[in-house]
Amino acid sequence: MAVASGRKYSVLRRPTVATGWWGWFVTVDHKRIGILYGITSVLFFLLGGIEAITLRLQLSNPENALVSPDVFSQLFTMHALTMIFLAIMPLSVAFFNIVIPLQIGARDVAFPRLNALSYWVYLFGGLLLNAGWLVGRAPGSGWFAYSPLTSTAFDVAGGMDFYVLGLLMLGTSSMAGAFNFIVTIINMRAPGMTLMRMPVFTWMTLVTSFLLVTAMPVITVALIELGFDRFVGTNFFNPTMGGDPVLWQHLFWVFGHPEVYILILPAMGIVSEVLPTFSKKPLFGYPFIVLSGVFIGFMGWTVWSHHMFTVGLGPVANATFAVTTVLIAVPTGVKIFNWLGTLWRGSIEFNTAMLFALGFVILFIIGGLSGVTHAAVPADAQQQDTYYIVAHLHYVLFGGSIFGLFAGIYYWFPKVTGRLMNEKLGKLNFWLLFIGMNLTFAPMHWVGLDGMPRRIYTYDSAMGWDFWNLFSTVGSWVILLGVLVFLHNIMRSLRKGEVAGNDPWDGRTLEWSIPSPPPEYNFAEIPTVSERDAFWSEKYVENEDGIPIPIKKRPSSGGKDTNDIHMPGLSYFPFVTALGMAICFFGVLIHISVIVIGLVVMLFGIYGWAFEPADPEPESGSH
Amino acid sequence: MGAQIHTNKEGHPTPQKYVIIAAILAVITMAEVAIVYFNLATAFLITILIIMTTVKFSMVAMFFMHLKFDNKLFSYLFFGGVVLTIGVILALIAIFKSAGS
Amino acid sequence: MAQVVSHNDHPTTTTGLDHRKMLMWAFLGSDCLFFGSLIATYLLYRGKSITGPYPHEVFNIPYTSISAFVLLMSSLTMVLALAAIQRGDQRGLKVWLLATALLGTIFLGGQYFEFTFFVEHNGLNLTNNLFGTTFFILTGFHGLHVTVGVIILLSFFVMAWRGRVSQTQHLNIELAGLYWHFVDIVWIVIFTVVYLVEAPNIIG
Repeated sequence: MAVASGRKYSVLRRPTVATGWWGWFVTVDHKRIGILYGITSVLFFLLGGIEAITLRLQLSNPENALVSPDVFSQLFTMHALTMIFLAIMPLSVAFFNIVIPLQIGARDVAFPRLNALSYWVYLFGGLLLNAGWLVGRAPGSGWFAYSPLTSTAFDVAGGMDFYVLGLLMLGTSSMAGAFNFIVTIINMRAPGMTLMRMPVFTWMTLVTSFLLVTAMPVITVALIELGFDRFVGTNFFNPTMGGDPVLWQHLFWVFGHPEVYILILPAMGIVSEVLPTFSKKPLFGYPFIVLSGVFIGFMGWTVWSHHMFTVGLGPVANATFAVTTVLIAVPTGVKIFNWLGTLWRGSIEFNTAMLFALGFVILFIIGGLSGVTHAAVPADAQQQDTYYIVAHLHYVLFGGSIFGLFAGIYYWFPKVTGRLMNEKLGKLNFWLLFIGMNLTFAPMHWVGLDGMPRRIYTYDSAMGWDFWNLFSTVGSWVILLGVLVFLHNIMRSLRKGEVAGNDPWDGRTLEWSIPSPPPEYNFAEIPTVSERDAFWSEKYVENEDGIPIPIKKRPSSGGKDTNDIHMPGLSYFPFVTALGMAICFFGVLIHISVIVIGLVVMLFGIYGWAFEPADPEPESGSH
Repeated sequence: MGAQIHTNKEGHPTPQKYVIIAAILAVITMAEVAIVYFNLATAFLITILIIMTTVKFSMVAMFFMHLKFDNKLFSYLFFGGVVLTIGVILALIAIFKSAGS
Repeated sequence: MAQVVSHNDHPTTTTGLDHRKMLMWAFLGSDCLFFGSLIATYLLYRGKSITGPYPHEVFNIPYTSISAFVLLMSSLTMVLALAAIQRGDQRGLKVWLLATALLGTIFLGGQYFEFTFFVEHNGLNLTNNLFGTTFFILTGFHGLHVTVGVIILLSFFVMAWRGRVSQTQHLNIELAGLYWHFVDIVWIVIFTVVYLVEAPNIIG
């Protein structure tokens, strides 16, 4: 695709101005793209949070009429889609972007322009998914969109159009990003960084990326089939013509279960960085943590039908998937014991990042245990579609993924901005979230086992669920308060935060060896790695008792001539290509002529991209 | 960078060899088409067809796509996807059969 | 996309392999899952159509065999184009690129006439039964892949025509070739699982 010819063949001059607001549109710098990902995903996180608060308000007392049943359906559907596809996944990608090149000692990702494309497609896809709100018909069939609820016969308003088109765009973005990180991690490691010397976060990013590029095509096909059913009138999920709604369930969960690990593995990676740093010990059982992660990734492909135990797949299928599901608890348990082993006899520093990491471990154990209870088919028949499931998934996604990602924010914020986040506010933030999250979701275990179905807009007072529902609603306000404290902390620390310096945490990995914020080229000199915990081993040696002794000589990273470092040039084309794609997808809902315009813009973007000169000086070093 | 990356040039087949491989592929294709005109038992026919398809698939991947001569990593990336795909298809067929739907 | 590996002080990659080639292989591995899901849908719905036309009423095995043969031979011309540029043979590159694009276009033409025949003569379309739905979507998305491939090949042909593909750039042709062979491989599978397995029903 990339054909580096002379400048004269370029359609547009390569942009040269990196500063100002315009600079964000043409940037290909992984750190700036990471910041874009981070800001956008936090904004979507707030939107999903507002939806959740509204849901909780509606359920706070029986027979409430704050929102209509229809709006309630749209709210819970969009809450799930927003949190999964627009908040947790892209926030993980923000960390991939910011941290991975720094941890492996690289100057950028393998395909900087593709990286920018991923972001813009994500942004437009998120806007498209949410555009349904503007015309009063957001998707309302639940995030797993079971057929036939999604057919034009039942989704009369047409909200599922936004679901199909939005998720197709978001899937494209995820896959483009994942290909990029696969190549970056395999192919751009600093000399000496073998696979088994890679930081665990890098490892988990690699596993997650492989899950993305294999799972996303399956949901892409499912969405294409659903889209054709809706827009053309095909029969994929039309039972009157012999179509089988259960096929949608299979395709969705073949994607959906790897997706669950796509959501949690990055958080596990972050926690595996934070716990050793603030225990002042190397990660206990590194190879076990890594191989467990790989095994979880693989096993993620073998358990999908446990989401469908009540469909009636027959005893053989149910028994098989029950066994694989129980099996997947083993590597997860291995990880938890290794994290506990890391803490054992460490000199633990209880700062905010560490608190979030510890919160992750505690809450994820609870969520994991309730998850194992679904593996028993008869028990699952009782739990299916009740609030017990809602409790479980929020313990692993909020208590797990979100807590892990918050640990990451507090941990890497100083690296990105050069300033530390406020610890007092941080601890307040942690405790509000920790308490609020337990207040909100713990009672859902009881009301769920008591039979309260999920996705109902109201309930009868005689069911006896009033108290715990009100309790959950109060809890959700505590979470909201925690998030507001977090936002305040971010805004305040950006201006007034204590200056961090290169290495505020006495870190173990390479990103702490360079200035904060890092220069555009990251490393003045590409480091050579001789051990796991590459930066730690430059700072300390162990004496015979295993006590780390600081080395006096600090490695110097200054004084290098950085003028001849070639960084990838800025580019308009990722934005143009993504814009063309967005016009195309919006065009499906408007008119075929708009699709054509979108295709033309996209083709212009792709050809401009392919013929863009590689370097400010054409033909230098490349061909 | 092309020169240093393409280390295996001498291992690549010559155009003559490509033509021979294409001829073999053509013969297998003709055999595939011919065999369906014999009145074979369906299960037997399908088994033979799957074997011949696999041979064709592998020959294109190994020789035309150079996986036989290239770095193993490329084979892992590609055949990882192939194996996963086959696994998912077989599992789905088995589930649909056992559920009788 | 090649700019990063051209850093003066960081010229090689960890594995010594090219970024773009690795990307292409990862993409092809991923695309297997894409076609695999479509094929799975086709197979699971095989024989589930409530009304006709049924596969054995519409398929023309000899006709499709020729299409399959054409696409198979385009893999040969593709690999010859690569061999040509690797030894610096500009004329060979142009001839074989054009031949490949031409064979691809013939295949697409064959598919166009097959589809039109099914619709106009057999009354089979996307919506009138499950077979039509699954068949047209599976083969249609394959056809879309072929179309993209033909556009890429023609782009390279135009560049070669203007003398813009030097011998050192053979990797570009190799990547286009990998994509093209993959499209061929997918058709090898579709030809068997969609067309040939129906033959006993056609012949009786």
